[in-house]
Order: sequence, then structure tokens, then C-alpha cells
Amino acid sequence: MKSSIRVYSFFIVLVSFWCIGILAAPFLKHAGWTQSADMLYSFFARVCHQDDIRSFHIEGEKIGVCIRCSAIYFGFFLGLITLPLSRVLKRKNVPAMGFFLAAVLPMVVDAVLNAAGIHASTPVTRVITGAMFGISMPWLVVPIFIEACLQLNHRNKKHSPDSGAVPYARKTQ
Amino acid sequence: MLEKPSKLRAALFGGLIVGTISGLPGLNLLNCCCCAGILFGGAMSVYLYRQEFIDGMPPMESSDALVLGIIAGIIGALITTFLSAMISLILGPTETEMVRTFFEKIGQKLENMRLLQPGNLDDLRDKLEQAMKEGGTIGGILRSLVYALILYPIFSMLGGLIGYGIFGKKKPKVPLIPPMHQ
Repeated sequence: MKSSIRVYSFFIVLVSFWCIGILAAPFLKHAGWTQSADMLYSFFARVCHQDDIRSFHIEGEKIGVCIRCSAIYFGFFLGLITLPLSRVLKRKNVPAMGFFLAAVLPMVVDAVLNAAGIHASTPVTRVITGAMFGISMPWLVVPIFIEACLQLNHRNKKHSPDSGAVPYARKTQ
Repeated sequence: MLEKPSKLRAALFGGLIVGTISGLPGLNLLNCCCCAGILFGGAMSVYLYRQEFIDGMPPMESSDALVLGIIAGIIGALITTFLSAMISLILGPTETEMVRTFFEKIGQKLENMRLLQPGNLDDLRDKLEQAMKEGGTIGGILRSLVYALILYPIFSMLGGLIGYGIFGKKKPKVPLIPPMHQ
């Protein structure tokens, strides 16, 4: 269990850095650190359109990603830190297809209907649907990530010289 | 018991999907929504890998999905950078002019609708010009490659894990060699 907590903590650190980066961009720009801010904006431009009118602003500067993306990422962070409450870390069978569809469909419907001109997506709908997706994703991804890391760790230990096993040995028939 | 199939083919296909979606203009807009194209590529690599399993093989594990996602992301990042560089090299002036015209039209529209402040349009224009200038240079391509090599494996790995969660574990129906009980 200790190893899974270590992997879980590592995941939290990674996501925290990501979220801090999103918020740091406007603060850096406001403080006059334009080059660093531009680097962060340029980095997040690979994952988001960063449309000014579709972004939250801090100190008059837009944050690193748009409203929907911020809802997803901060929702993911929230879902991640509340994950131990659900005891899902210990669970082997995580919810899959139905769960994923229920999480992603509202966001897809909001985006598609908006693009089709049938319904106007507002900041509120973007935040709600994005957060629904973001908060629910750790339930699906994190237990599998932890399991995968532990498997890789176990495999490495098995193949290490101390374990007595011959690394990458092939069975002879 | 048979060995697991090689991950290379599935990772290559996954990387090709990631690279094609992210490298082609227009199609790469999919990535504006939380890197949906990259997530999809990672998930598809896991799906394709699962199809290669036959009876008698050990079941696919989550670590396979994790590794597959990361490899597909790295391959995708390389393909995307190569494709983007090729496109800007071949279609350079035409594409630049198209983007410029499109930007001016949208910008004017947004300004007329008062959704964009007059100063903002000039600011955006400067940024676009700078991005287009950098896009064709070696420095710009290298920077794109570095960003892609950081981002794509992360999102592709997440896609792989989601794919593993969705497509599930395939258990061999009848093992070719029955397990020995000691």
C-alpha cells in the first residue's frame, strides 16, 4: 500500500505543477516577466486555443488555458485529491465505458451544439461540463496508473541482479 | 504459455494517429479540447494492441497500456513535428496568406461585435506574425519538438490508460498449456 501512496503522491505533484503553470502565466506577465510568461503561454498553446474572450483573467491577463480546459484540469486536480475518500485506490475494478461516456458526453454535447449554432455555450456550461469530465477522470485513470507503475516496479525488481533472476532470460523449450 | 505480442506495431499505429491528427492543419483543432486527438491516439494504440492477443497468451496488463501510450506519444510527437515542418516548407507562403486573411476577417467580425477591444486585435496580429515567423525556422521547429516531446507522451499515456479502462482486460479463453498444480 505504501508504494501505491508514493505513486499517487507523485501523480498529485505532477498535476499540481501543471495547474500552477496555468495560473503562473498571468502573474508572471503582470509582474513584468514577459519572457517566462510567453514561454508558458506558448507551452499551453499546444493544448488549448487560449481564446481571450473564452478565458478567465487574473490581474487583467488571461490564464494559461481557456475556461473549459481550466475546468477540466482543476477539476482533475480536485478529483485527484478527493480520490482517497472514495477508497477507489484499493479497488481493482474501476468503472469504465458507461462511466467514461457519462463524464464526457455533457461536454461533447455542449461543444458540438455550440459549434452547430443550436445552443450557445456559456462560461457556466463550460465550467460545469468541463469540471464534470475533469473530476471524474481520476476515478478511471489513477487506479490504473498506480497498478501499472507497481507492475513495472515489480518487473524491474524481478529482473534486478539482486533478485537472483537472470534478466531478460528466454525460456528454452 | 505464449509470449505477449510486440508493442511496436500498435505503438506505431497509435503514433501515426496522434501525428496525423496533430500535424495536419484543421484536424489539429481537435487538440484544442484537452488534447483530444492525442488522447484518442493513445487509446487506439491500446485497442490495437489488445486485438493482437490470442488464446494462450497472458492477459494484457495496465503497465502495457502505460508503456504503449508513452511510446505512441513519442512517435506522434516526432511525426507531428516532421509533418508541420514539411507543410510549412511546402505550403509556406500560401498557408501563411490563408491564415492571415482568415484572421483579419474573424478579427474584424469580433471587433464589430465588440467582443474584442481595438487594441487586442493589433496585439493578436503581432503574436500571429511572430508565431508564423518562428514556425519556419530551425529554432521554432526544435522548440515545437521539445514541447511535443513533453506533452504528447503525457496525454497519450492518459489516453492509453483510459483505453485500458474502456476496452478492459482480455482474458484468454482456453489456455493452450494447462497450468501445473504443485
